[in-house]
Amino acid sequence: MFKSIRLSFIPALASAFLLSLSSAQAAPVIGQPAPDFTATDSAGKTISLKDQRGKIVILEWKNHECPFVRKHYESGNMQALQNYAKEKGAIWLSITSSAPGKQGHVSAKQANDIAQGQNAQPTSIILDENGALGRLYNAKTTPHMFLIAADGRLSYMGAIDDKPTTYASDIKTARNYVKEALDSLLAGKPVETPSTASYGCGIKY
Amino acid sequence: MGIWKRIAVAGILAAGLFSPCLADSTAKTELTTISLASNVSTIGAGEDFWLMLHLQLQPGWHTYWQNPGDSGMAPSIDWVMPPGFSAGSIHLPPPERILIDSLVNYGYHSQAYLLVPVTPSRIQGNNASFSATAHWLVCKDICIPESATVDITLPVAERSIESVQRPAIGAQLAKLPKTVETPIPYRADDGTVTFDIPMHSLGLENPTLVTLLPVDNEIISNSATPQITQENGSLTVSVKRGSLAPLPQFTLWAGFADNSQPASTKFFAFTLKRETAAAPAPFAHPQSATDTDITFAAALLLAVLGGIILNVMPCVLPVLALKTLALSKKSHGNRAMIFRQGLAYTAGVMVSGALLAAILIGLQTGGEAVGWGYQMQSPLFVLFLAYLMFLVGLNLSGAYVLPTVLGNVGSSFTQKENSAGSLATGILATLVATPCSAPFMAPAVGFALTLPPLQALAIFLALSFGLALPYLLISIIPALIAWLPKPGGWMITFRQFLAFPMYATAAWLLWVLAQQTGPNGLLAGLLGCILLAFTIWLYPRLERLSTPGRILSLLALIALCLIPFTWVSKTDVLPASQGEQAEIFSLEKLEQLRTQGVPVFVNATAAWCITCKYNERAALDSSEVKARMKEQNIAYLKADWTQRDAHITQYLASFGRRGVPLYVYYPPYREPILLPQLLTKKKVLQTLQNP
Repeated sequence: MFKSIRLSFIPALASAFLLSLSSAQAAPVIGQPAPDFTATDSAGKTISLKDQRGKIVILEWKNHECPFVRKHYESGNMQALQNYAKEKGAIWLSITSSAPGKQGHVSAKQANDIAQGQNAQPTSIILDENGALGRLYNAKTTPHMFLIAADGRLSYMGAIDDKPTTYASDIKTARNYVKEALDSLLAGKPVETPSTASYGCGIKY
Repeated sequence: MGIWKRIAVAGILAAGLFSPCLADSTAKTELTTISLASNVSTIGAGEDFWLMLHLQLQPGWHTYWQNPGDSGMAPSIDWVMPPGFSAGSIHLPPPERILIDSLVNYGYHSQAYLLVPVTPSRIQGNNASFSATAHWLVCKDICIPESATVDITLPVAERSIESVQRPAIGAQLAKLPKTVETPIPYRADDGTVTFDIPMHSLGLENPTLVTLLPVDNEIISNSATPQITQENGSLTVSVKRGSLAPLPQFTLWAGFADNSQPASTKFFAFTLKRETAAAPAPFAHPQSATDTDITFAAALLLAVLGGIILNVMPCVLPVLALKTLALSKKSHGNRAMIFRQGLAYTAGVMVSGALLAAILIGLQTGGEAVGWGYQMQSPLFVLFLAYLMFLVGLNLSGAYVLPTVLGNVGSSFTQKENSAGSLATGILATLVATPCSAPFMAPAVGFALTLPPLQALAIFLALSFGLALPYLLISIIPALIAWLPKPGGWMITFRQFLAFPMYATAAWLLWVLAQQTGPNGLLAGLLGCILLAFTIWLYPRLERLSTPGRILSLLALIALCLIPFTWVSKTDVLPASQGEQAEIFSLEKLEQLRTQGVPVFVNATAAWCITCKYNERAALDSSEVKARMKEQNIAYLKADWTQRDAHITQYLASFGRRGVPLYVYYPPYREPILLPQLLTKKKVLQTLQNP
């Protein structure tokens, strides 16, 4: 059984190896500087993480068709969180790493239209169809959340909240890890729960 | 329809309601057919039984195990059961590893079985109906959440009857892992989780590990390949860590193929417990910024030096000054007598010093978490010292005069030989020296307490000798006596002046008491001092009473003065206080911050530790250091040792220290750095510089 795992692990190994060549740090670690990246957003602008130094940055992996993502968008939870974060001066990047032909893959126009229809206002929508950014951060699910402090250190990674279900009714009784981490950073306190296991659909690389 | 037909239809429908087998025990969703079955066709009173939900999935689709892995969702069931029945948790047989791209899930293609144990504790009626609303996630390349409600009604009787599904359910139950009771220790260091499985406990002939299934997600990486080595009947497994910090305990299923029975894989459920080694990672050999390894000879020397310096501390100086000045009166006296007095004083100091040391060492050998300053952790002792200082101060102020046989602190106008007095003064000097600490004392004494008893005693004796040395020298060398100012009226004024350092020491001790026991304790101490002063004022006026009356009154007054002690011992010991930026130290907190990669600065201090206060003032509480700590997100932990705290004592001991202060800086993911006991702003900033 392990032999078969090794074989199918090779493509993953190869891409991880290639990524490690392109970036100084191949895996995100809490407390360490978050892996730097440069990407193009749905408005055609170039976004670079190191240019955001001095501001808190939140990364959200999205697949608008995944039932877990829909739970947070149809209830308005994700949009409210985005607005709250932006009010506090944070930058919100909504990232789609679905490969062409797979669920969740969108063009720039589609991404903008969907966001508009959902009343979602992230700072930028990043299209990562080759999955490089997703693999750089070891993003596994949609949603998968990362919080980067103003000094560039990774302060939170994992699930959006503690109820790993597809039911919107679970949102109000759930503990929102992202909001907690954001509030802690703003208050200058250490984040109580910096790392959780994320939940959601697998990212369709 | 004719009326008879209507009645017939109604009758059939009614019959359907009461028929035990016609409940909706099967439901169909878009991708799944779900059915509910039981291993009993009749429930026996008081007998546990199993209910099983069978999910039959469309080809190509899969659903999940209790730990779905990198993505997905575990199934859940909302039960509606009659009162007296309770359902246990969902038991799922060992899943497959499902690989999608680089993600690993644990789940089932085609068929999934959810087994739930039911316990009847109290039964009413003849039938029991169970309704299960199940929620599960079905995925192929995309995921669809599904749910359905299925019911079953079973008759209840004295004894249970097996159902036709019993063998099928039994087959699934047989796949469940055998729980291994004894936890297995595991280590989580440098990015891997490592543990040993004792193969002999499995009861298999020739086992090979074929699969690892973590029940708690992300402690180990789902996609990493474990490294396995087999040696002497023990299997060592090393897996890459997952994204979560290692838990004190987590569950793991291990599947073994028994080569003597190749067909099936046998599963065992292990509990893995985080190993806490004798010297856990945060306390690994620190890279010391100062040489704490002083040799024994150096420690002796430092102790003598410390003892000498103690003489100028506000606690001891008055005693020494007055004793020395008394010598100038005797400068006409014979040198031999003066020398004898000097020896008596030295003896007094060294004997009481040895006694104190013996008590400390004895307590330590007896297992008490003793360190230098141990005595200061007791509010009772602090109050006692405050009383002592106050009493000495009152004597110097002239409030009372001690009988000469006890040895006045310097107000002896007689030329009589007074060795007993000198001895007593020596003991007094040691007592008043205890709350004061001096430079060089701390390293020597701290080192002493780590040594075997005899060597420790030697260092304390050296300290006492240093304390007695100035007076001894003066008593030996006549030239020094000649240097002393000539006696005169100014001596009375000087004596009264020296009362004030004693009062200041008493005030400081009361402040320490306040830190330990709060405002109530402080009040007790203050009232106690007032009562002492009152007793001293009242006593001479009691001379008019008869002797028994006088003694009784004295005893009553003394009892009054002792009341604050009971008060102080009853007041709640306050929790350690910390400044705005500091957090309370605990070993768990330190460990937690270290695993998160947060840099940590630990300040072990105490209210009665003067060196600590100086360091805080001069370096740690300075704006530059505070700013640097904020900038680098350094967590500042204060370990307040003002009160007895075995955990802090243990922490100090892990660095080979027995007292405060102790300053340790932990850079993220690196070995701790020890700072010197005397801090400068520059040194602290320099140490914090390079993460």
